[in-house]
Amino acid sequence: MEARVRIGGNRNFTLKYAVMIYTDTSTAFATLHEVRVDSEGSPYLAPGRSLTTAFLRRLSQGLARFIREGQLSEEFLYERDNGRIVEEFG
Amino acid sequence: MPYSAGSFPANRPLRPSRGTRVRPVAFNTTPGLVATQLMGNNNGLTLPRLNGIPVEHHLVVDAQRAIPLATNLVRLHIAPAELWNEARRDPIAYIQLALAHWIESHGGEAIRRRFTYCATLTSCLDEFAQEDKQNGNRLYLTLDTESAGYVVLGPTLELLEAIDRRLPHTFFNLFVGGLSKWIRVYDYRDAEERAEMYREMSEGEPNAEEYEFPDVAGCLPASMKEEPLGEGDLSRLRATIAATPAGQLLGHAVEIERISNQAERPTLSDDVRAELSDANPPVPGLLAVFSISDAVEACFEEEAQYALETPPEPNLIIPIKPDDARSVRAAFHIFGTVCDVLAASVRLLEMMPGNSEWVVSP
Repeated sequence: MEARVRIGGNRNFTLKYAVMIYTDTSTAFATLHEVRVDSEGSPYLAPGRSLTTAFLRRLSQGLARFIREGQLSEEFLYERDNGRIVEEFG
Repeated sequence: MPYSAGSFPANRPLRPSRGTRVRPVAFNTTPGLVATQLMGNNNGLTLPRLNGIPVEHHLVVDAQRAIPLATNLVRLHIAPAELWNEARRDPIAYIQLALAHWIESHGGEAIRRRFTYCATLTSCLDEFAQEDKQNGNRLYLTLDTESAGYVVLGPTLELLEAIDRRLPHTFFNLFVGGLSKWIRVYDYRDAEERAEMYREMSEGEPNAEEYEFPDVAGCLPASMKEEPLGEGDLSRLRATIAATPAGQLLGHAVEIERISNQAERPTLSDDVRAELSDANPPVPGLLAVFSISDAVEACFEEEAQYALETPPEPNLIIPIKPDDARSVRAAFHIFGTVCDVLAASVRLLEMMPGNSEWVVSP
């Protein structure tokens, strides 16, 4: 006989990626690193790759329902399906 | 290529609205530059390690019901506290391990050989509900199956009839009666009901005489029409045949009834009944036929084609108040009794002549 529990909407979140942000006084770029676990169970960062807007889209969807669709910052930046950044001025 | 974020410099002043400007993502990307080129090369600059950082987070949305239940399971010695480490300190995982532990201590291994039951501790009886319907501070322990076990009664009834003509019906009542108190057993009575329904449906048809119906009454052994033995007669008879195969079969059936009587099936409230009003009858946990492919089985096969058109209700629903120790104790006592009845039934099935097959999990 199998045993199951179905109480509420419980979730398990696993640390999968880390974002590293590099910046100087005027410019920044970001890399995305997979988090791996070594044979002793310690997590470490794998080599990075470029951060894509597709990843940001998924991240923004998962972060909170309260963020309006596509909004990345409270100031200007929005992302649309055509892969462009639209800059709006307040 | 790395993505340059040069489009949002740190101290840019806000400007009046002037519509929007569209720029490609790749704007300001530095050609040929990759992250690894910006890092030190074998000079001591390495990617940081994350030792000590937790790599998992558990979000427990319904902790107000899960934690009191887990606490009561420990206090009532229903589940060992040691499972907490195995559950990695997650109350939901702990409850699941506790439920599995309880099943194992009440014949889980035997049950799995012949039945495919699943015990679910749930906050919502409607599995397909879009959102969890909050039922106050209440949980349910349910018992469901996706397929029915199978038993052929004929050879056993013949063996018992040779001793006393009233024994087959007595055995049937002890075994099937004890089991069907807790789970749905599909037997000749369900088949008669189904066949009668077909007859009524055909009465208005112009060519009613062309329909054929399973002959359920015809497959019923004559001994099943005898009056069953009373308690005193049964005790006296058992004493004389205790060591024989028939006596052992009878002893197991008596044991099933005895265990079954150790608890009472819980009464469901009106709101629970209302929640199940659109559900189909439970999927039978056992199909009891007199011989392979008889009229009972024919009716069962016919009914099975429509059984899952709408979700069936569970075989058993045990309400639990997770923060009430008496309620938790009572619920797990009932559930333990049901498991014991199922395990005892498997032991009987494996003794009954003609039932060596139909093992679902060796």
